Amino acid sequence: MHTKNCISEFMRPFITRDLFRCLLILLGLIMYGCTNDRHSDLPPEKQLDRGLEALSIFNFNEAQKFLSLAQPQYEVGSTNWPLATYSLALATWHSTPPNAENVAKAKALLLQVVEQAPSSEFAASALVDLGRIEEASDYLGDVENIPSAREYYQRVRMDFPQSEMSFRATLFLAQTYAQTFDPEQVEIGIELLDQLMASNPPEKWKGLAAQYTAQLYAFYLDQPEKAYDAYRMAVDSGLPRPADIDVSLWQFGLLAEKAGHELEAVEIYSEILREHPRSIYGTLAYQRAIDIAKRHPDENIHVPEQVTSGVGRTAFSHPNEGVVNEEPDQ
Amino acid sequence: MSDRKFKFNTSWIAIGILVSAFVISAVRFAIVSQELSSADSEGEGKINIRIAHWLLEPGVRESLQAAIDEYESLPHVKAADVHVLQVPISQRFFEQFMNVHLISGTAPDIAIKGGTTLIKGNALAKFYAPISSYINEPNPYNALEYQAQGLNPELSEFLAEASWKNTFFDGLQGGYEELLSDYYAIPISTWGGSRIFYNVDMLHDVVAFTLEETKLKPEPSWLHEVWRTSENPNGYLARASGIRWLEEDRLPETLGEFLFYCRAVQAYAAANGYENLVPIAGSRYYGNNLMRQYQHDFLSSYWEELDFEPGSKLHAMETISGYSEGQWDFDSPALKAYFEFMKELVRYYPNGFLGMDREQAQRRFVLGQAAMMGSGAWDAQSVYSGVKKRDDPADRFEVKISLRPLPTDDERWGEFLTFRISEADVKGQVPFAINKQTPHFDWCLDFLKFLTSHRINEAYNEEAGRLPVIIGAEPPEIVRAFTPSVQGIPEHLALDLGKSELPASIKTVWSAAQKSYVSGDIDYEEVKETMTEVLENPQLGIKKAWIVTLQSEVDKSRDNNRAISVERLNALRGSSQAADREISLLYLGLTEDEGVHLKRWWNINHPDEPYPSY
Repeated sequence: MHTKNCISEFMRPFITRDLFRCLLILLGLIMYGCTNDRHSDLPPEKQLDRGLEALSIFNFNEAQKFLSLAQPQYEVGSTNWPLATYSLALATWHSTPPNAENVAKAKALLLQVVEQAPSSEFAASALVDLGRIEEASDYLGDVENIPSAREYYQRVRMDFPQSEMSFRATLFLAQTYAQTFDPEQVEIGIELLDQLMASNPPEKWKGLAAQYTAQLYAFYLDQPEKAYDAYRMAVDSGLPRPADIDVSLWQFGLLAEKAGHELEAVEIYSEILREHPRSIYGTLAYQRAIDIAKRHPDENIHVPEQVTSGVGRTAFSHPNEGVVNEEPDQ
Repeated sequence: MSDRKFKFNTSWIAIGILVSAFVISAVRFAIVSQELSSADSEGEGKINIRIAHWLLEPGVRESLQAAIDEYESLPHVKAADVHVLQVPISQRFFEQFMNVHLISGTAPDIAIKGGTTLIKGNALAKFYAPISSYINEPNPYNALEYQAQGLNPELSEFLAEASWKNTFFDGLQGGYEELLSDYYAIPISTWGGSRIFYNVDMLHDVVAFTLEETKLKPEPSWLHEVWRTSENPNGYLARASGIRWLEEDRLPETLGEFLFYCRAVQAYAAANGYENLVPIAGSRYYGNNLMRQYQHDFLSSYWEELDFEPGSKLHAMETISGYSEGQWDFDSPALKAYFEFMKELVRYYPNGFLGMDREQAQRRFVLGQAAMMGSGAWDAQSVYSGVKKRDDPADRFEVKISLRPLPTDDERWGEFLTFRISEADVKGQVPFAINKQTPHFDWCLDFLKFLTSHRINEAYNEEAGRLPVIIGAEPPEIVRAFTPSVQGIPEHLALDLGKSELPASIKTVWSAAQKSYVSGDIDYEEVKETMTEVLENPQLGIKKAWIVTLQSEVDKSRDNNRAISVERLNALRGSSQAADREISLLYLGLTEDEGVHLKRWWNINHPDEPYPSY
């Protein structure tokens, strides 16, 4: 009891209302210090840059904060207005958590870009995005509107023919038909993709459209022969995912076999073994190529050896030539 | 003076402690932040690069420091007054440390890229710099003047001319972020695959003992159980093969030899009264659990029947759909064989192994109380040094490491185990990423180029006891055996009810059923019943799996759409690399948009039924 009284006497001068006031002020100052970055004081160019920077690193909420300050400061018709408005629309659309209000705001901004800067590339991109918003479900309860999505995509194809944006619109438009799983509708999607490929687009777009076409023929319509032809075109034009080339070649090989092109399949499997010696499909590709070779003894088929786990200086040989070394694996 | 009586409230002590703790942590935070952020604080023009890591094992920091010292002695680095400082942090606190400092903007310039929920997926791009623009040029530190002496000319030329990316054994896949379609890290080592550690001295003793046993007339009954004959189909291998292996006195190279050896160790222990000696130092730790490693080997033969889209990864729902359609069930031969195999192998584990951890398994092996242990390269250094440090030289033994063996055609399970799961997808590990906010990006990149040049990466890993990541770099002898074996079947093609995409209700029951089975609590009929019950329960099983996986695919698709939007905007602003990344992402979008592939698979088998929902 005595000790408690001593502590009380000692603490008495410190435990006052003033102390609590001081603590509150201190807390306020700390909070103020934490928010010393005054976004609204920045010039609009800086706000736009900060917004775009945040957007480029997928920080949509931060981007929305800066861009919603920058965008109203640009006059319609000024150089930066389409970029600021379009970027704000993207940031708003993708900010988390997704909700109806943000999606509605994003749509309004995208429509502004389409109406106020109709000839800019941002307008074409905005139309594609409007199609995507109609097509996809962005939040719980968001209802898809496929006819409306198709209208937007068609508008891009009409208003911006032969542009890269029209290639995107065609791909998305074809997708809306494929996703019905109805063979006739899938055929319509393929026809759109054929038109795209026939219009001499840059090779990378042709490769993308061709591989998607191959997927539709192979897995939606079960037409391996046509899938094989489309895949061949994709490989010749350049596959869209450079990091997964061996994966695509493996699929191409299987499709070639299914389409009855066994000798071509061996070529494809051999390419995996030669050009992608560390492919995870190496053993399967080797095995299938050997099996085909056995079925066609007259063809005198040569299948490259699969690499084993070659390491170290002595095991080195140029990666593109493959490594055959040391002891065979179990 | 006021006549209000002052009353002390004991709660004030708590407030006092709270305020003191706040002040102390604020001061400490300020000091650490000052240290971390003041890169140039030690004098005009001086550049400090801080590199944070959790490489605390013996020798690793020293080998990294040796690389740093050599880097700092380079003339151009010296002239720029660049210094690299290690910030070693325990792995336990590393992610927490990085989360706090990345968010507060005070993180080190280079750090091992972690996998926290905060900094993964798209969020990674907030904190770390993409490096794809820098990896297609040759690494200047692989130029002839920096190379080790005596390289073969072809390797020397390759290193000097190849792009930095192509000098990595995995083409730098270990630094690639699929969701962002860009490279974000530079790995410096790899672990390779899991292997079996053998106590070679014990192997010789057991082989000698067993050879004597085979000469007894009649042979002991335990040997009759091992020999595979038409009367004993559960035997492991033919007698002639077993005798041949004993006479050759080498590591087991087939599954039959391996299981024969396990049984021989048991007989040897019983004959000599070694109560603590077991064949395999098992524990609940995945790396020690050989049964689990064989699981995918056993179950990799179904993919052609199950795959809706041959040539793509086998999705968990393709496995589930295959079960619904009767393409496999719990009476399927391979699945039953795998369970029989588990039951057989667990005979050679220590009693109560599910209650033991990694350290206990390692200690058992080092103390010579187990003939074998399954694990990875990360344990090699500790095992070798543990054995070397045994007090009595007579207790030390030779250690050899080998791949888990497969059976020959005439051995038990020969019809099921034709390939191992491939290790071709083993990637570079210990991935160092560059902090987006560093003021010294170019120097950070330069240091990582130096660290992953052929000569330096080889030297670093030699000291650290890890596998190097650069093509043509010599691995240290103690971990050479862990070099990934690229032959085999992709792991993702195996039937697996533990895949991450499946609901926890299925995964948990599958895992628990296997544990209960190997511990003898339930038999295979009960496993079947348990699994059938959960799979057919609409709240927990197949129906839930369709719903949950679709939601997960929709979420992935949303992330992909966000990435497409950003890359398209960057492409519109003139980035050709962003345009290429967008094309790559678009392909994913077209084929998997909103989980369309799942809906299609459902539609194939249930054309008249809507996709399941709650």
